Amino acid sequence: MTEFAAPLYSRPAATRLISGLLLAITASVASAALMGLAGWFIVRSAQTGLSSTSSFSWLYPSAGVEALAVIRTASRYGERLSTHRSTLELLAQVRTRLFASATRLPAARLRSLRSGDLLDRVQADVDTLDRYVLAVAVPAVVCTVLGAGSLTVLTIVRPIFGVAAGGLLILALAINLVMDRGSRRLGARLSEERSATRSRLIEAIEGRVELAGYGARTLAYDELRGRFAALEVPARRLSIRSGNGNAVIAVAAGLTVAAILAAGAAGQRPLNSAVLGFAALLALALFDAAKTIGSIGQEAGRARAAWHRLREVTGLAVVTGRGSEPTGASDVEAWPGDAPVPADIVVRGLSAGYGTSPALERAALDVAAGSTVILAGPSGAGKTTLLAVLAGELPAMAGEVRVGGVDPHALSYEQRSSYLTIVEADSGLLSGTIEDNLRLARPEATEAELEDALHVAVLSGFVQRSTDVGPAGSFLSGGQRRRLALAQAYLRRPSLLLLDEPTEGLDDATAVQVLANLRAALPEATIVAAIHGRNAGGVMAHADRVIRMADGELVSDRVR
Amino acid sequence: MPGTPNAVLSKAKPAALTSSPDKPAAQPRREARAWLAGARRHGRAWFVAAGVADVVAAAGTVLGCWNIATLIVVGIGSAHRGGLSAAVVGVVLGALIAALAAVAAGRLAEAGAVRVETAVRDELIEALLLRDADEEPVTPSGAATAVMDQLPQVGAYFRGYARATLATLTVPVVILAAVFPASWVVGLLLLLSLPIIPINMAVTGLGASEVSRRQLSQIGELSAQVLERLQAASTLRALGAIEQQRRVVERAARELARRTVAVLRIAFLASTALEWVSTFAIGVVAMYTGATLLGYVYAAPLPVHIAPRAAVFVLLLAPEFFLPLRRFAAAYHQGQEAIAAAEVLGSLTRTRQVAEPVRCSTWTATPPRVELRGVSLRYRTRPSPTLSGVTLSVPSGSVFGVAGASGSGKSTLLRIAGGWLAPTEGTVRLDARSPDEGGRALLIAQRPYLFPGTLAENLALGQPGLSPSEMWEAIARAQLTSVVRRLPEGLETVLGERGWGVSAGEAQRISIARAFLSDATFLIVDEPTAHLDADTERRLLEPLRELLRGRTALVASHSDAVLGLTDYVVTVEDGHLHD
Repeated sequence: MTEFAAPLYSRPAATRLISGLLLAITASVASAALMGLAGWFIVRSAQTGLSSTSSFSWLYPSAGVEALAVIRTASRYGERLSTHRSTLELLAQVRTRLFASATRLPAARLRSLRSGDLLDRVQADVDTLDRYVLAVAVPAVVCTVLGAGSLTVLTIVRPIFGVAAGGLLILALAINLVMDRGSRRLGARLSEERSATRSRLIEAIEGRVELAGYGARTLAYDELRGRFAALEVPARRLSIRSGNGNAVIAVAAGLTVAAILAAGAAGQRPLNSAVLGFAALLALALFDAAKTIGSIGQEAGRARAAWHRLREVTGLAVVTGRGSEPTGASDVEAWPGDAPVPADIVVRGLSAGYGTSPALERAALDVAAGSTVILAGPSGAGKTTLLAVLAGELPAMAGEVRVGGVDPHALSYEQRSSYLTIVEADSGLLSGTIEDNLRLARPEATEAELEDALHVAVLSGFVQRSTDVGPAGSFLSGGQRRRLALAQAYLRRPSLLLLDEPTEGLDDATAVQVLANLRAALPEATIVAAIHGRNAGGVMAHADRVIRMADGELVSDRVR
Repeated sequence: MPGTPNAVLSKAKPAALTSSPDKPAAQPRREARAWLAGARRHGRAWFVAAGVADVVAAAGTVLGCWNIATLIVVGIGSAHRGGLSAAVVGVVLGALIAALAAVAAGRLAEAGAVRVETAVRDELIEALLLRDADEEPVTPSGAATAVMDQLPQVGAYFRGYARATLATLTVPVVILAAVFPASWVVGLLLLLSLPIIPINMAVTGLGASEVSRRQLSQIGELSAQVLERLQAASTLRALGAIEQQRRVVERAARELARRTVAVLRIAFLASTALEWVSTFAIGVVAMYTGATLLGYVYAAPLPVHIAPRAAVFVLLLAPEFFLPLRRFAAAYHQGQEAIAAAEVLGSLTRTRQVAEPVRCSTWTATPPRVELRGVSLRYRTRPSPTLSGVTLSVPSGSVFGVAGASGSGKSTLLRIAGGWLAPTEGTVRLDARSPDEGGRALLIAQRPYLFPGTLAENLALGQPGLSPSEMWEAIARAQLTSVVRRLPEGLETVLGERGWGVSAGEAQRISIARAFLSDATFLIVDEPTAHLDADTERRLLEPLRELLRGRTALVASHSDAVLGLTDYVVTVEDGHLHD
């Protein structure tokens, strides 16, 4: 974990963490000293009161007790505030980093992220990371310092005290460790089963009317109840373990105090009662502090599991800077910079697909720059796969692909998006206004440019720039969402425009109009659009070429 | 159409799950408290037992402290040396009792909390599976968050906060009972310090709850923001907007951290104040007993002497006196979280449900005659009724079309007729029986829900044991044969999340095939072609016509082609029915 956390700490956050640690140590030392001093003070007072010959001053120790009380309270407050602040700042960094690295995942992985419950888990995992600092690192440091200090003091008072306290403390912590042994696996299993249960629950709620209609609701209800009951077993075992761990430490504390008192009071030369009182109370304070690290194993395990999941889901660790890219970089040097290129397409012997078997086989294709090509064919024909390869999202399993003379997959996302734009079939929108969403594509766009984009996408008159699109664009109709995505793509002014089902949800006349507008507005661009055979209607008539695909092959090519 | 039962999984606003900051806070909070009190009954016996165990633990601590004090002062000669070994045994025994009783209390509270969680969860799942989607704007994943994340907060409340609250009332009494005989002055001192604590907790708590409510809604907004950006990440990438959006996320995340610190500051102040009072009181006890031991105290009626053992004993007990209060302060946030959670959970269990949970739908052998008499429906959250005084009679085997603009009450009418929603007024009868007796309708939804599983599992929903040949026959009747033949593993092909890889038209035909396989005699068909283009719609008409033949059905649609399949068309307008 440290390998990721260290570079994420900003300077002020790191300073805050260190001062938090120092304050934590101060607080617990003051706390132990307070108890020890008070014990010594009372017994010393009793001795003085009885003997009436001593020059013991009441004032200094009692002032000391109150001073320690103030120090303890104040430093405890400071400690909490600074450790929490630095941790929260760290988490803010992690969230940002998470987003940045997730956006660099391969398209297929990114798609799997769309599921809401996976993301919920990601959020929960980020929140768990703070335990690593607050419940593991800070208590561990504090207990080490306090333990070393108080054991040294006890040893100085009487070596046997140090041995007894140290031995019993180590024994208690060792027992805790042994009891915690299976906790990590248990915790990991628990969170796995939890997320499976969450998915089942969401499915059942989404499909509840159908479940009812088909008489399968009781089935679902019983299955869910069973899953939750199964979840409770490991959860309860974990909670019982931490209770037992604390009990072990408490019993060890009792034994230590008994041992110290017995050893100090008995024997040939009994210890001064005041020192004995000091020693006993110091030992109690030590074990009190030890309770905070009793479940350190569980906490660390949970945080580590969360960290591994985050890394697995989002590739968090892969990204340390901003530009790293997993693909081969051989062509990057040949990249002519960000000047738009004439995007002619050359495809030779291309096989590609998302799974192990290619969805596209031995495809060959030449498209001249600036032409309009429609890929037609039923779903499953390989149209989307071909577009993904052209967009550089998907590597070729075999064969080669050149767009403007460059393999798009060898480029970074930034380089790709500077000259090609793909509008996926399920492209997403962000909540906000139409304008906000348009500015995603071109932040510096003028009002005229925005209006122009709405006009090209045949949206002017239907929506205003200030229209609220709702969460993920849900206030818009399917056809409006589609056209807004096309307006965004147009604002990119790409040399290569790849469109997956651009006319879904549009009537024929609008579909023809939008595509004709795009063609006219981007005269230089190569446009490749995948359109369901049955949706194509009049659109086909406006293409330079219509390529029919079926079962992963290009079956016919009609050039007009 | 976010209101349809199959609303697409939209992570609209987790903020809507937590209470919104601008609505008057007192009423829902009172309701939430009442709800929590009601939930407590499921584990009451366990919680009482845990409280008793906590008292026993305190008694063990008292025993241990007494013997520690005895051993410490042995050197001063105020105790018999003969009692030494007994005192050592006492120290260990006290520690054992305290530790074991604490373990027992923890387990008992755990058991009680699990009982509460289980009971509430059962109720919740049942309510969620029966819920009417229109009532509250909670998405399926939002509802899952309530069950998976917010319900455990209620459990934590009973494990931690509620137990700590009870202990603040009982444990100090045990300690005081031991302190008073040793020194009534110290007992009084402790007693007097007590009221300061709740007063100061209440003052800071009030501030904290206001701030934390605001922070909760902020968390909701932030996660919605991040979520939305991750869901749209491939689009953002295509548009070159990643860097720009990374800055948005960063700003939001920092803002969240800042606000959380504001909440924590107040929470820490509250617990610091408490700790200050308790530490200060311990200091005063030490100073007072020290002064008395030294013989400095001459103010009547204060006692002039205190036994050394009693002095050490009360000093040891003073921190124990405040311990439950400190635990309470540490658990304070659990109380706040639980109340926020209870507001959501309470509203979910209270939502409108179908008349009563039906375990299984039964279908009459002949198509039922469906009659709605004076049916009205009014949602609490809406000013005007969604349906008013609808009377409709569908003869056995007839297919009625329902037309009307969206928002006219068409979908509500369909859901009431289907028996999934109980009307506020009026009756629904299937062959003179209520939907609970006569069985509910089978739904062909606008966006049919396909379970992530194989095609065969989806087809055999609710009736395991169908043979492949029966399935193939239904597939043929739904005109899906060529599609399914192309699938890599035929009937055993796994459909992805929300039927990934299946087009909208194909999903609709799968749901029609599924309907062919059931014996349903009454169908509700809700805008079956709303999301389909004209071509796809045309291909659906024939299977649909075949499905409707010989069944009673209500078909809502905007499409003339679909309405053309019906015998008769009624129109819904503003909740009223026109012929």
